[in-house]
Amino acid sequence: MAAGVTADAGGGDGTAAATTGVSTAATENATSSPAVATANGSNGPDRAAAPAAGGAGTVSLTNGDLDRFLEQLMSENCKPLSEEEVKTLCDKAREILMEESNVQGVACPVTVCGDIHGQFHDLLELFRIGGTCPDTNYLFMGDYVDRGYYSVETVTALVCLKVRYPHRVTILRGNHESRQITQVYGFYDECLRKYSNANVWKNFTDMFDYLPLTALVENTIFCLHGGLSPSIDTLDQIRALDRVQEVPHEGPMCDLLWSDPDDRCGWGISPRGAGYTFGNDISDQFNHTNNVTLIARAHQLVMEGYNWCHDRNVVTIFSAPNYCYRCGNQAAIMELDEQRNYTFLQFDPAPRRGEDHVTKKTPDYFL
Amino acid sequence: MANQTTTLSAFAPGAAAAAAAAAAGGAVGTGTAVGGGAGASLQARIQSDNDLRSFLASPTFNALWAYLLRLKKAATSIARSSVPSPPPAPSAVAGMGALLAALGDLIAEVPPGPTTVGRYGNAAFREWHARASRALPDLVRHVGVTDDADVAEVVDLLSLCWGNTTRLDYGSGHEAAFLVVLFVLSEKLKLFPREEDVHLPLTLLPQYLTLTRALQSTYNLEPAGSHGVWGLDDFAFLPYLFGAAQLVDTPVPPAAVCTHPIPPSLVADYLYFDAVAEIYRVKGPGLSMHSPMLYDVSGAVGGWAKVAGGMVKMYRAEVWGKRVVVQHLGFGRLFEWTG
Repeated sequence: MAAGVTADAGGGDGTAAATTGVSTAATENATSSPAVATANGSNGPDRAAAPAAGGAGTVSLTNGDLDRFLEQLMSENCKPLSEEEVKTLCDKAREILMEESNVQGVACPVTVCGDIHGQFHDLLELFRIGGTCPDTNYLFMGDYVDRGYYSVETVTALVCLKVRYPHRVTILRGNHESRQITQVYGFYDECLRKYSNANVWKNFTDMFDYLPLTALVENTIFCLHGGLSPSIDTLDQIRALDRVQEVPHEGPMCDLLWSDPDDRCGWGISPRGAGYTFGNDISDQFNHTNNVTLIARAHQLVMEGYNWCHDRNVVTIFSAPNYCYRCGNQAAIMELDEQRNYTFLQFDPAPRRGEDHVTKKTPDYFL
Repeated sequence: MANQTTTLSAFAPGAAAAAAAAAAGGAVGTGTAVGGGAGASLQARIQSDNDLRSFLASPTFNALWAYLLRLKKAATSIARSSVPSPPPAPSAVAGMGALLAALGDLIAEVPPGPTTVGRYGNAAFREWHARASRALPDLVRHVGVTDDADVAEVVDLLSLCWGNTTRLDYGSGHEAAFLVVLFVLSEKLKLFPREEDVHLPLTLLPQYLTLTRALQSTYNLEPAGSHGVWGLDDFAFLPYLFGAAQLVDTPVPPAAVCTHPIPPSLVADYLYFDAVAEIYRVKGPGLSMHSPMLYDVSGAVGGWAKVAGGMVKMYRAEVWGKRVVVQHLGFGRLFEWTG
């Protein structure tokens, strides 16, 4: 089931990008230049705390270690890493992420993905549809954890890929990559259930503070989890933010992770209680000011997996099929080829696995 | 921008959203007035954690909680098939049943439209809600409410029970608003005689659940604030609380929820199994993966009494103790703010 379907093909220059299958794209990418995603050193606020060693860093984690982790993780029978391994992985990820900009530069070709929310087996399906790393470059726009049963497996795998292929994988921060939100929506409970303590949750959420807020693909496609902020007119204003902190309750950093596009013009107060709603006029002005053609964002469930709005100034991409086992939605990812032509690949849920016969742990209320 | 944000509550939708909701007869928190539309009789009073603390310590909440425990007691060890027939019309129970049925019939008249831009939920829900709000005054009079001001207030309380017209979602806060309606009709307006308590959890609540499930599926309402697999249920709480009470002293073990499919006789007799069957219907087998909380609860030592007691504690903490849930409650003369 769940074969990739080219549902919408076209590009900024009007060229149809007819993609017939996954293997084609993967083959092409395999021969492309290795340095496809480069951080623009002049972009971000320099972090005084950044380790002098740069790419090598101070945490010892070899490619061999990482390949072993990935082999253990990236299968239907995924086995989470040990607590110690997670700590080392998060330390290494932090070294890499702190070098990245708030507006992380990304080159084409790249495949842009939305919310995953712990639906690990659907993430494996995503890689079957979109191609595996490092043959396909990926940009994930946040919300790896919460709500799904496999947030631990999902975020561990994505961070492993980021650390193993730092220039081919970009992972942004979503509003769920937060201490507060994960304590309410499941990741915290899941870590307790799977590790019997909160250390893994703490290692991950501490690392989340370093995730970049946004990415800019070939200086033309602006990617982020939520949306725009009334405090921000230009990309340089985003670059100037101090992002290494818990997601605040308000202000520009909060808005980037929480806002939604809306049919109404101008700014509106979000029914979510954080961030804002913004109209087509706002998107149009932002794209014009910053010389970008498209805002690609995630954060909202859409039935087809992707949804254009604001006269194609904005596209929403959601990559968790049949969200929460109930919503019946397709998932989608957006492939961008070397010429920045986009192709949406839609997919359905991965085949269901048999039931996990885990030990029942009576919740405190029922003891 | 600044003007908008300072004149409205931090947790209320913006002026534009409020206008849209009001136009749709919406029932979202619009600043301090809730209920929407003309004659809004309710105020949102729980806006900060301090407000929540005062509410939970208030006489109103204490009375509500005592009422909940009374209904739980009324449902204890009672299968639905052994509940006597509800009193025939004209009676408040029959009137409330007719009200819920009429709103259910209205769904057929408001089919879902083309998919809403940017939202999962279907915008036709707003039309259903507007029409329901117009139908409610007459329906409420048939429940037995006579005073015009009381009718207006009960209508506004009821309009908080079906889902949020701005976000197109539904959650346990809407179900909590229905408990408030039953509380007001019983304790303030004295419409339900105490000897008919059993009909509230076991006759009217199932009818309410039938209606709200139809709304959820017809208009694709999102689970409000969903915890995904880590919550008890995407939408409901009360059928677990009253349903566990029903099962006290029955030979059916809590672990029976893990068997898919659930025997029809259990579904028909017990709200708890009916609720779990609804989950299986939507999500398929695999309770431990899509509903680990229910799976874990099914292993509780101490049987259904323990489960029912745990549900009360959990309901207090996870629904009534959460500001983001109860901030949408509306207070007025009948459901009085005494914080």
